[in-house]
Amino acid sequence: MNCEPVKKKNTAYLLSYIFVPAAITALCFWLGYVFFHDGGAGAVILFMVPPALSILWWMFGGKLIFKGKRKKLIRELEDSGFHPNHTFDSDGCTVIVDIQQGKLALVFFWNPFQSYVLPASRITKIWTDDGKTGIGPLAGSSRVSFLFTIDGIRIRVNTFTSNRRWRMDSEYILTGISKADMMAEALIEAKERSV
Amino acid sequence: MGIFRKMRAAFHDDWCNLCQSEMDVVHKQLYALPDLTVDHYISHETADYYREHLVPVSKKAQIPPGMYACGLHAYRCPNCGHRRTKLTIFLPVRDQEKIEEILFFDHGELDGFLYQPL
Repeated sequence: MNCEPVKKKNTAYLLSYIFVPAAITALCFWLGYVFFHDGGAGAVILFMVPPALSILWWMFGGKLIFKGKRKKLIRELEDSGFHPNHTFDSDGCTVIVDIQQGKLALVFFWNPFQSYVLPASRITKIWTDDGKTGIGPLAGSSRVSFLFTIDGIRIRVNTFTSNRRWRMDSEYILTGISKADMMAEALIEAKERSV
Repeated sequence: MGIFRKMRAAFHDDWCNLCQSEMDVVHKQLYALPDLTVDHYISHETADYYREHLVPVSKKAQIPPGMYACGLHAYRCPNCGHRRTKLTIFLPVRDQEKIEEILFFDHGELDGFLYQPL
């Protein structure tokens, strides 16, 4: 069980995730310019491979790390007697709730090397946000989420996101609201049972 | 029986598919389906599944968020006596319903379940 405050972002990881591949690419460009000024296989490798790898890293690296850490956390929880009644994976965070023991486990995309197992009593507020804007027939949303605060830190977990706006009675929005309500209910129940 | 009435009957769930008369609702009940939750819906077309998994509830508010519900309507034709059971499987979301599937049982597959002693 963690007692330290929840950190959604690890700044060192975030900055290195963005800038280390960029720095390596810049270094390779410089090496290519200095040592292979007249071209050749070395120049091709130094000018083409690092940018390609950097793009692949930015596209998939974070997701692979997050997925791996999430799997590791689930394995550790199973070994420690944590009963995952509800698990919700979003693109930025994974929330696992053990209602019987009143606990929750968290791992964040931008802080994947630190996972948190907390008593649900540390949650101070739980609510859902259907993202509704507009009135009457123009009402719609492009994001549905459930939110909770731990030690004053607000954590938003999206259950539906889209790059377009959907009517409030569309099946995507209804499914998103249902998931958000279900998770909010699970968190409320876990908080009530938490010591 | 006119062809137009037969065509109209195709769009009315509560019309007899044998004599195209309007059927009477003889039984109505709301059920929860604890086995099916949001994003984990699996279509089941056999009556056995529903016999085993339907849990009667008196109102929609008793169904927890994220759990599927099933509305059962049992019809009987006043003309020919044909019976039909309609199951509407839906996800209740606040004051709305996301209908997933509508199933009909015309051969009394759910009779034992409907008329079982409580």
